[in-house]
Amino acid sequence: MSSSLPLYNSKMSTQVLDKQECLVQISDDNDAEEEIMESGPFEPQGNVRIATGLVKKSPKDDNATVIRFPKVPKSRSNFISLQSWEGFVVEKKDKTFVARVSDLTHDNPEEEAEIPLKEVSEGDMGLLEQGAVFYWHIGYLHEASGQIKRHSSIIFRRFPMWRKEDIEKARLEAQKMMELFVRE
Amino acid sequence: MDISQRKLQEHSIVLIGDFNPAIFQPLWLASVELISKSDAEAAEIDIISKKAAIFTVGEIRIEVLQTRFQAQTIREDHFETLRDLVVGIFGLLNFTPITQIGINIAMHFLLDSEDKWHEVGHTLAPKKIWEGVLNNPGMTDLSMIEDKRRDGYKGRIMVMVQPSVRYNPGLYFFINDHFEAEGNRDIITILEKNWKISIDRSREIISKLLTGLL
Amino acid sequence: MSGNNINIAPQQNEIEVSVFGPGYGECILIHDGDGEWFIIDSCIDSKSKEPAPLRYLHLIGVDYTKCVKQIIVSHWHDDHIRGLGNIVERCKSAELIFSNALQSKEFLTLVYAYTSNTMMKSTGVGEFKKILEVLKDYGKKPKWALADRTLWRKKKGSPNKGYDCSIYSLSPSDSAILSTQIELAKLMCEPDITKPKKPKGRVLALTHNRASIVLWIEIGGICLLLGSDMENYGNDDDGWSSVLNSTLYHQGKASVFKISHHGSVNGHHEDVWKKMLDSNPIAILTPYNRGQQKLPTQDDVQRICALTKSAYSTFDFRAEKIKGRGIAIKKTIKEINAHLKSLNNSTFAVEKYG
Repeated sequence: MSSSLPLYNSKMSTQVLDKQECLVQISDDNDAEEEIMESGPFEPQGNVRIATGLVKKSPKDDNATVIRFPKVPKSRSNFISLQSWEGFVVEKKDKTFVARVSDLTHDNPEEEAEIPLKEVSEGDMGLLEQGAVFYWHIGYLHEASGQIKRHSSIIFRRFPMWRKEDIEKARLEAQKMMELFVRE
Repeated sequence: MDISQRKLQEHSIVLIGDFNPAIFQPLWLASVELISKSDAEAAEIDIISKKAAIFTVGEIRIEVLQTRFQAQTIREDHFETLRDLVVGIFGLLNFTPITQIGINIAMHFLLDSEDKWHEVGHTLAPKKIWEGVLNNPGMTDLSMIEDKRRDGYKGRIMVMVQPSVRYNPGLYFFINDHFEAEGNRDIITILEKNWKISIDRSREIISKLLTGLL
Repeated sequence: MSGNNINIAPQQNEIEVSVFGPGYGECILIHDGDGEWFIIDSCIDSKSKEPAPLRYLHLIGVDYTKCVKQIIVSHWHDDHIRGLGNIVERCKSAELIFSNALQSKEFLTLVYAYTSNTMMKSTGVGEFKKILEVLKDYGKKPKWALADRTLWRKKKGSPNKGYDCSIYSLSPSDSAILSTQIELAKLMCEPDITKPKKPKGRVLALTHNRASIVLWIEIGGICLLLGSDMENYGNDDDGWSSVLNSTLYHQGKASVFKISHHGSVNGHHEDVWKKMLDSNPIAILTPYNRGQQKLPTQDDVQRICALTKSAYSTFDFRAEKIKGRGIAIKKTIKEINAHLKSLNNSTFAVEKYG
């Protein structure tokens, strides 16, 4: 590690050490935690200090105790949704899956959809089973290059998970309701 | 102009509390199955340390400091994923003391002309009072607060309007829907119950402002 | 007897049976001839988005907060009881009756487990959860329907006003109750640390309908058989076979039959038509227009029409129009080779078969 990097007194993870382009100074000063600079493609606009809003403040000088992010921000695409649905899988077939979808954009009745499996990403394929919930968005993808194209996006939910604590809590509530049922 | 003509929409969830940034790592998120393994492996990490963790997984950027957690995205198809990620993380880290939450929406609009842009400025900040005080005054920022929430929660709603830095001539709206923990009301429960209501309300606010201004 | 006119209220001493069925889910509303009403299950009116029975009662000027005496919940899944939570909340004078197959801690645990922290539009048991919350708020206890139980019995108030009215449940049988509880328990997913964590998803309806409540109703000498979603299961302890063994219906034969399970062959039992029904009963079914298997099939319609000259369906095949789908959306759906079909049809429509 270069001595020109006055790092905070903590062990940095190996992931960060590998990033040569990352120049980081972390301050002891608590105020610095409230000063977040431009962070590339997600940079907030807004010059007002808001507790739970996004905050931006320009650095005063190079020695300012602020957090600096990579100088070359990676551009990102943004997506504007025209239509979205929440759906759940009814049946998985060979090349498609059948789902019931509820319109999240307009007040429309439920619909039945048959969607090709190739619309589902590889990372989500393991989640595709009966009852699995997904969000389907159709809209315009504004690519980093400036190109705009129509785009369909299907993302399966990874949440909520089955957890022992939730089931225990459900059992307790069920017990209370049973007591109401049998009460004289 | 209506909300469907937005050029960009950003959503962020900001939590104020007591965090340990070092544990927030893409591989940890994948190990608890809140993100896919492939997203974790492809994550762009800026820093992970005791004081700060900043990385991007998929289309969501996470920034964690010791007193502040922030997750944001500019992909509307990932808004639910962002919400799920935050609820999922703090469902697992359920002993994290969190005192405040902001459910934030920001939108950029491109206006037809500079004249329209100036018209907006004049409507929000009438210039008469500035005549004789400043030469050619222009509005750079307007923030309004609803100090007492109508839904019974402690907190406030803040609306900010500015010229857009991304689109010229453009408008930028930012809504900070701010809740504070109260007694036994857990912040993450507030998020679960109010996320959709908050997003819909913020969109309605922007819609009404657009109707009034343009 | 009035026809399909939803604006005309039944008169004093007029018995009315209304069946609502928009293609998924159904509701039956009964007037006993003396200003008292009974609701069995629920569905949503596609136009007003209100529970269909409440919309109808409101249209004909009935104060449902007072006049609805019983609400019978013969299913547990959202798809079959949409709007029922709302009905239970608003019909404050009504007794609530559940299938005894649902009187189990396991079922209630399933409801609470699937409805906590989901942030989902529909969990599959959201409606039942709403009903439970109303019961908790009002401190009300439900009654339980099972085979050979009297749910309602009332003698007419005066010689010329109203009729004697009795309602009996002919199911679920003991065997059906046990099978249902075993099936429901399988829907709970105990987390296993040796396996990848599974997201909760939406609870799906059971493939069989053993928990459903078949009702035998007698009003002033007229008998009604409401078949719910009862099917045949190939044994005497269950399904229609166990209903036929019931001791309670042998008073007479029904002249009105709500055909079970959307007219399917699985829901058909020859002996029901021979032993429980008049010849040429008024037979009504609610179609099922979701998934790959639409009901009734053409064969089902032919079979039913051979058994009675008065067969009706609640279905209007004109699907509700979808709003707000511009060209860009339609083009994208077409390009990815996806197909969408509306599932909501008119609730207030009837079609005669034959």
